[in-house]
Amino acid sequence: MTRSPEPLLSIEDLRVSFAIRSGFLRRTKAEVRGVDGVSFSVMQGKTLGIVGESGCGKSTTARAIIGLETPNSGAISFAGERIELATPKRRRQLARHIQMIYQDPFASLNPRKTVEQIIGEGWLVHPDLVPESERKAETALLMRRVGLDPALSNRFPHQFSGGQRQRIGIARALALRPRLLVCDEPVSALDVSVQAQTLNLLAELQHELGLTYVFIAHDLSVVRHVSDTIAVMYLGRIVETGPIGPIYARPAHPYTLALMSAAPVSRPWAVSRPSRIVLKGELPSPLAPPPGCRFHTRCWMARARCRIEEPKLREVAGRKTACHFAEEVVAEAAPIGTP
Amino acid sequence: MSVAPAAPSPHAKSPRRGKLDLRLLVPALFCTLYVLAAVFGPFLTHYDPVATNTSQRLRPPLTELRDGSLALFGTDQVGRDLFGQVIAGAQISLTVGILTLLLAGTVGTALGVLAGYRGGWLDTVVMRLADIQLAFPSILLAVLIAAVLGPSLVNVILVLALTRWVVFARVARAQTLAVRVRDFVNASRTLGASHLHIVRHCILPAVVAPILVVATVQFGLVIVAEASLSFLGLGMPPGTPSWGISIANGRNYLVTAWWISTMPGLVLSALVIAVGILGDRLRDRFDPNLTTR
Repeated sequence: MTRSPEPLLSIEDLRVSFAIRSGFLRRTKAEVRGVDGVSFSVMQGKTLGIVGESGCGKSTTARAIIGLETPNSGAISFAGERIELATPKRRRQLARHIQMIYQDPFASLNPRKTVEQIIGEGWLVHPDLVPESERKAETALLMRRVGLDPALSNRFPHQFSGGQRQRIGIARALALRPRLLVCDEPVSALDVSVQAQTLNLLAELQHELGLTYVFIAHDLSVVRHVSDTIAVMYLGRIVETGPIGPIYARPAHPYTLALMSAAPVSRPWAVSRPSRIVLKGELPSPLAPPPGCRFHTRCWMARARCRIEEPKLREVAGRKTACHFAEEVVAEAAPIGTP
Repeated sequence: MSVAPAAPSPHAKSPRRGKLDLRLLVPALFCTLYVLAAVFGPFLTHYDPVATNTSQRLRPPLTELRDGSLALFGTDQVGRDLFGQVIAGAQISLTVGILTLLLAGTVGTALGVLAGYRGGWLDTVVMRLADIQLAFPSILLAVLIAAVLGPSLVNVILVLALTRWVVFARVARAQTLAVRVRDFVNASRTLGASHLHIVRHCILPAVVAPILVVATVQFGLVIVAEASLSFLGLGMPPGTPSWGISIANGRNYLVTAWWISTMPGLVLSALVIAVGILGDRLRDRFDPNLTTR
């Protein structure tokens, strides 16, 4: 497969904020910066994993990519086209190429439609994609592709299990033959055994169809399993990003290190592993992010400089990280998870 | 990859489904009876609203008249057969009820969905308007407008629809607000769907069930309201056999000929109760806690 040197999706300094309104004239009282200056790019056929705890802005980033949120500033380019500047009509056309897998398979399927109607909904919106006479066969094909029995096409979502519903969601996204799939915690609502099946299905589909994924999760082992590159988010910013290998081997940001030390490993007796780092305190309110480094309120390595000067993303040991003392973190971090 | 069979879900369905639900069936049959009476009754009873038969006036129910026919509900003060009168009234009441609900339901649902979906100033304007209207007792409002427009079938329907759209609008808006933020609506939007597509395929199917339930409740109220307006002389023109007019006609004879007011009143009450029970049952059926959505 030939790969274009240009990334399929690239995001430049994305900012999405939510206004908090109150009072008589619903004046804007405050602004929550959900995503505050995020940049990354994904190459065709590759997977970018985004991790971070709840409220760090990973889902908002996903919603901005698929057009459910309007960015306040920044650029979202898909195949060289600035999609956040597209007219609503053009944006709806582009929707065909960028699809999303939702977190909750119980909320993301219309309870009043059959599986066939759900999978075929995209063809009502984009009628040129599949001729009407071939839609039934195409639905059966898609259902078989995601591991569902085509005989069940007349059933309703509530007659399926969580894993099966997620497969229906995947088939619905694939029906439009997209190039980019944004997966917003696609397995976190599923049982562990079903998680693995779903992840394998996504991996197979990527291999066969050359799909590009933006894969959002809070589970580090899941992200490691599927991703080529990773971005760790904290309070609306990326704190560390780069290829999976170096980051998982030796994190260069204290937050990444803390996340990794909290992730369970299989065969813990065979793994040399530093003691678990437990972060103190809560995620600060995104209404008033701390000055300087946003992580300093919970960082055990924080020094005076961290409270004043905000660290920029810089190249350290094969990845980009936003920590003043990244070199020290790399040195401290023993290789994790490798026997 | 293996093909997974659908999980059997015994709890997903309503436990009553498939079984004969008498509390749904009985009121439904009752309502059907009224509809049949309204449609075919006038062909069988030959009621003439202007015919008088003074020799047969004020006969109590179940009297055999001189021409050999049985006055099932008795006769009124000018000798008209009350049973025929009630049957003819059914036609008017049902027409008013159905047409009013169609008009109020369509307008109210459309405005409610629009307000809930669009939000913003449109929502504020429509809903404040609804609030202002709800602050008036609806029958007072109806009396006021009916007095200006004058009595006629079309005016009654217009007046009653004007007082009822609010209920539909509020329910439709509430349901729209609840559905609009769900993930499957986002999923449709992600597919590139237009607003029209989303309203048609996601919002309206979810709005229909509660609206139907509201309609059954409102049906009884509309029929009572029509009778009230007619009783006051503001509904149907005098001479039409509306139930309300029949009841009004008998109010001077309540002591000597109780049946003139009582018979149409009983028929009216029975219909309202039947429709009320039917609506109650339907609400249980559509309850998301009883049937998975």
